Amino acid sequence: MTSGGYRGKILKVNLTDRTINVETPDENFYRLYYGGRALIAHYLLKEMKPGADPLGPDNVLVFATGPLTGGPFAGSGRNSVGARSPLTGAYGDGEAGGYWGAELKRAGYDAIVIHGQAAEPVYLWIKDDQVQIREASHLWGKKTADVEEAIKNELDEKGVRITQCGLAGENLVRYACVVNDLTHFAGRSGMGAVMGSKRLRAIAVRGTEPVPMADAAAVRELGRWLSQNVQDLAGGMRDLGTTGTVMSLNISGGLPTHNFRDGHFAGAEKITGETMRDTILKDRDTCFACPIFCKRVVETDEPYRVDPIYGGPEYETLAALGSLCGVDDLGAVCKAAELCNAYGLDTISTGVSIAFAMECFEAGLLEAKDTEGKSLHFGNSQALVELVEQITRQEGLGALLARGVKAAAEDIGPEAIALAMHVKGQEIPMHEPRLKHGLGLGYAVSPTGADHCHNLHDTAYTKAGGALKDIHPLGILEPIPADDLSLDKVRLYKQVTNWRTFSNCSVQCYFVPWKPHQTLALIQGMTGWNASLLELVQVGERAVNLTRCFNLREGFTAADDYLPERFCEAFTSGPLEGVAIDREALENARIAFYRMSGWDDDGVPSREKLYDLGLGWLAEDMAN
Amino acid sequence: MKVKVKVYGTLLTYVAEQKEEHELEVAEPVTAGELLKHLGIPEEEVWLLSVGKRQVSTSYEVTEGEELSIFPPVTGG
Repeated sequence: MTSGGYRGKILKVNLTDRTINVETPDENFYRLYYGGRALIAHYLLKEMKPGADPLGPDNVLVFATGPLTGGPFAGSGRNSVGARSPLTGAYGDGEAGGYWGAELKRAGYDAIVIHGQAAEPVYLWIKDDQVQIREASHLWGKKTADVEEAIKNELDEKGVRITQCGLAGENLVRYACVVNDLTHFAGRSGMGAVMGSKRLRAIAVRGTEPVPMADAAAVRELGRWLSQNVQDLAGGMRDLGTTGTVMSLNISGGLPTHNFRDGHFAGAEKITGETMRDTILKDRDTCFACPIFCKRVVETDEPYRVDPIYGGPEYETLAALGSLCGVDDLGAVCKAAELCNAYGLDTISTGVSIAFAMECFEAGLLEAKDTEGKSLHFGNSQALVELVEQITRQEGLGALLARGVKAAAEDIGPEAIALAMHVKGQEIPMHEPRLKHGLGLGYAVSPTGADHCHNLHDTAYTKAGGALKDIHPLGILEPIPADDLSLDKVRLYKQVTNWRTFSNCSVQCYFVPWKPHQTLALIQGMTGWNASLLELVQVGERAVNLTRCFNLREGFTAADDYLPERFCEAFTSGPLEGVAIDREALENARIAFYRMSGWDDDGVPSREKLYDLGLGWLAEDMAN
Repeated sequence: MKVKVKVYGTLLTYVAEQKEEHELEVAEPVTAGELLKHLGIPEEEVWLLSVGKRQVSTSYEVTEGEELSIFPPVTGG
């Protein structure tokens, strides 16, 4: 085993036959897959039967940490949750902060791999090497805060950390999320529904062993340096968190509004991070070992009473439940967000689903008989809050929207399909491709469907500033305009997405301003490996190829790498009036990305490329 | 004349005491770009400038009583 960074154990749990085993991979396994996305994809390819029903017993659900998880420095408090996605049918994962991931490492495990399906609701209780499958029928149907409290009371153990699905997961809402420590969410891809389908309501963890570090002094020194300089390095992240971006995106014309029909919202000032800070912000929260405190805690009174125990909205939530639905009532947005959190719904997919229903209603594709008499016009804040309840319980129109916009549109009819904003079934996050054209390419080719995390945000690289300097070590030296889709942009996208996908494998936070050489130093300090930047980028690229091959195995093709037609239509108003993605340029960029990646024009990685990445076994599997 | 300047996000790290709102006494005419220099904010770190919620360029002449807002690039995660 390595001298640090890992615990060397993978916990394997089969909920059907209630067996618990521990796997102890060798060091080469860890060095090839690191953790997070690459590790999850490896287990899915090896252990999930092809064609497995995402909500059936054959799906494999993986909770994975990385080599940095649990280290004494900012950004180390995260974990991934992955499986075949019930929302897309493709590879799916989500990542959350908080404390649970670090606690799992302290308990002695790098990951948990879950097979099967329990006959009755259960939760897992992990106390170091003691692992129990416990009865959870009494927790079924409860809000996340009630489950958290009930488990902590019955375990009567200090420092227990809990991850869980909510009521939405139990009810198999296709975009149900996984909730860490009540206020941190592995939001995307419907991993909460996979938990719910396995009748696994929660995993409680308590660990007592610190994560080993090969060079503890070097790691601690870096952690101390960031803590001491956090104010200079993190700027306004403590003050406003991610919510600080509403205003500038609105001014730029890139604030997703009215189901992406518009990019500018007249009511934006009422839902900005500044307005939230100056009115209802009660506190700021953070994750394990992080001095930044970018998380929000809000509290409001009537007419929308919001409980601060569920934290508060981030940028994605403000936009998805606010401008995208045309709602400028901050109290209503926070109430809808609180309900999403209490029930375990991804706020992005929830907002996109509701905005889709609103546009369908305005277009006459949904009528009063479909909405129980509700007027679903954009801006109806009461309908927004009610629909979150309905989606969670799969009642009324909520039963349709709980399947995601792709499935809902197919049910409503051909005209609705043009209004369904998704890629591969994953609803579009709150970043506008007509503002960032490379991001549009990223949405199209992402293995998890539309994703903003492992994607390129073009606007960061339009000038020779610090963001560009940060990626000089990746070979990117020149700024490129945000609306460019040339070969140079494709190269920028490829390098950045490999790097950001590496972050999904080391499972570290994007918001901590570590430079690439510092991330490398943290990896070296934790593991003791003579790792290089090349190695880290290759881990990211390996994950991109593992997930690509998983999707190909499950029947996805190049035809699934598309962008909704709406993004190729020009805005008719606002600062980006007249701007659209050029369809031909996007198609050319997609093929160029395949070719730069060592894939053929159908998006299939070559045998040689897989061998190049140390994935010979996968090359042979793909050939058979 | 007096102009107001508001600095956002990571750009606060360039200004004294990370002060968000500034009221500056400057000689007319003054461009948005000159105000950036005045505050010590490198132009290449700025993604967007606005006056009255409308996007402007560095050559925009800021007039008495106007407020210039200065934003860094937006990413996601």
